[in-house]
Amino acid sequence: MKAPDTLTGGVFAIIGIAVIVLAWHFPSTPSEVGPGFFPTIIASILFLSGLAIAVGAALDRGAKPVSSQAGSWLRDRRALVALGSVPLAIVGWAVLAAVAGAMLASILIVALLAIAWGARTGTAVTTGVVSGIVVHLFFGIAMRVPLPQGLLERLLQ
Amino acid sequence: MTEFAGAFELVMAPQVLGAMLLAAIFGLFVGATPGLSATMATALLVPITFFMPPIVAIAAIVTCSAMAIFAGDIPGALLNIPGTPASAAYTNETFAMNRKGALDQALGANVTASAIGGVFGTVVLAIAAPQLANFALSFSSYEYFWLALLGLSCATLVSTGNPLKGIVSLCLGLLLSMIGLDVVTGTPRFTFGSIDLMGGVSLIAVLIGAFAVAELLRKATDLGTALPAATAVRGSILKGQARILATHRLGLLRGSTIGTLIGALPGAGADIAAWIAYAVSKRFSKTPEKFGTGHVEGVVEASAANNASLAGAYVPALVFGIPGDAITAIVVGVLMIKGITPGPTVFTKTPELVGAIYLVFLIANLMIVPLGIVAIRMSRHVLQVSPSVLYPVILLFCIVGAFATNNAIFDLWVILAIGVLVWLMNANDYPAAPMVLGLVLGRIVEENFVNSMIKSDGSLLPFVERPIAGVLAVLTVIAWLAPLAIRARVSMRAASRT
Repeated sequence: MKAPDTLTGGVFAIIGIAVIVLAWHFPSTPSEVGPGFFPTIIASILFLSGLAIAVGAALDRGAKPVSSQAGSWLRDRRALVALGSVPLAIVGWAVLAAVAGAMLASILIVALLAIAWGARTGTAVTTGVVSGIVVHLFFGIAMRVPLPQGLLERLLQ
Repeated sequence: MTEFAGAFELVMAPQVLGAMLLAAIFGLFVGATPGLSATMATALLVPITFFMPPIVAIAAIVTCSAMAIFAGDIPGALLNIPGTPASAAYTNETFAMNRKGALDQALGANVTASAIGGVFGTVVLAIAAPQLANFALSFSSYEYFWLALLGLSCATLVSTGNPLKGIVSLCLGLLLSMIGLDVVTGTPRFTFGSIDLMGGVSLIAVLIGAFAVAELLRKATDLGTALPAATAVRGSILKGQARILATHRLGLLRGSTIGTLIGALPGAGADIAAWIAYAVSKRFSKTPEKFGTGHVEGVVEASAANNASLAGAYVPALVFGIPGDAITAIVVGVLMIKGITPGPTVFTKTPELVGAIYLVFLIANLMIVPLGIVAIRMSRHVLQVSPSVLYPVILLFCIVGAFATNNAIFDLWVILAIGVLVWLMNANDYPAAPMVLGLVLGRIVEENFVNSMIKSDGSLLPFVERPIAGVLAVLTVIAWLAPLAIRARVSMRAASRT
């Protein structure tokens, strides 16, 4: 998602200022180098760099307008669905794993993701089942990671 | 001799060899899949290595990255699409060879030159690293502060088009490293009352977010069309290679040397090494007019360079704990998670571990030949795997891998936040690698700076008083000023032309 450098530089400059303000409130120590010393230096560099990017872009009259550089994917429904499916899958796994357990959450998430990315339903379900079982066997059984069991798996046991 | 025996024993354990074989298959698959990089392969491997002993983890990472860098050549020759950025320099050349009917020869040159370049880099690593480590034993916190700063500065300023954007990325990484309890006073910083943030941001979660989730978000906006069907490779891959390598032996040596040296420079990795080696090959060739028409000379030199650079990057990473590129940043991070801080003391305290790393590099590069030939034979099938099936599986691996390392749902929010941040940064030409380097090195820089300041009672003079510290300080300032000087020179030239 292409944005003008004035905006991105400005955002990073604001983050720099916010960090400096937060670092001021860290407790002081007898030494000159307290917990806020290093963050203040780094945040100041971030602020100055962000400001320089924003000002440089604002002064650069030869720069192309962003609209001509932006990708066409914003008008592509398939791309938007695929893009939205990535954060939704992460949040969905976290929620589903607690309720239905990690394995069922994995199967469901992969199957739905594959459909969102354009796979046929049969292929998507097969991919979900195989990958869900493999991940469970590897992390849950072989590596002994206590993956969330969820209510469903506990009931089944 | 006992150290070598110890290293040999470590590496020859079935667990290590088994991990290397599996990592090799994984690296070959990821490398041969267009759009998935060697860095992504390494980042995806990290949650698995979390559960392994140090040498098994390093063996898996070394093997995976070496295989991925080589395998990137395969779709380049078959479809004119580089599998990884490191192969982009000579993709046109190998594809032109394919169209001339010399596909076997092109892929054979990729396999053999990659292996030889990798072995050359390993030999240089094994010779140079202990010497440098001996020298670095006299370093104090002042030298380490400058060294880390120099490494970060070079990585930020050299590798990016706009140095300011590199600096922003680096600062974000350094600030991320400061989240959690302060290294000296134990004061909570930027935790916002969250217990999950007290121990800092999980490096593994950041790596997965920056190099895998961000990449998947980018892929989502560029689904494109399916890859064209690749032709099967049926001829003998190694036939005639001895003659080709003998003819271009000087180029092979030069490419390996360039690759190793560039790999050792902070900020420059396998892709830059391949581009420079290819350009140098053309510059010194007796037949430069043949370049671009399907000529094997540049392919040999550049293929050797990108694999040699992998071992070269381990020199500063192992000796000083300063990673040269994103892959070695991951390796340094993994070693730190395992309780091993890379630096000269590693060479004295655990020499068998260092020896084992050399041996792993050697075996991994030798494995490129047999496993590479198998990968070439199977490449047609690998290239047919649909992104709509592959990417969901990768994302599942990211999710479960991030969760598994700390058993924390919180790490899923980290991969999501970092993934979106890096995706937005990449889209706006802010590089991700300096951020990861900043996160890995942030604590080292701060700890050495604060310790030095406490030792010197707040005086900055000792930072430049000691001879080596002074030299490193000057080099750091040069690294800062060089981009400005280059930019001023370019502007002056442009002005004088108009």
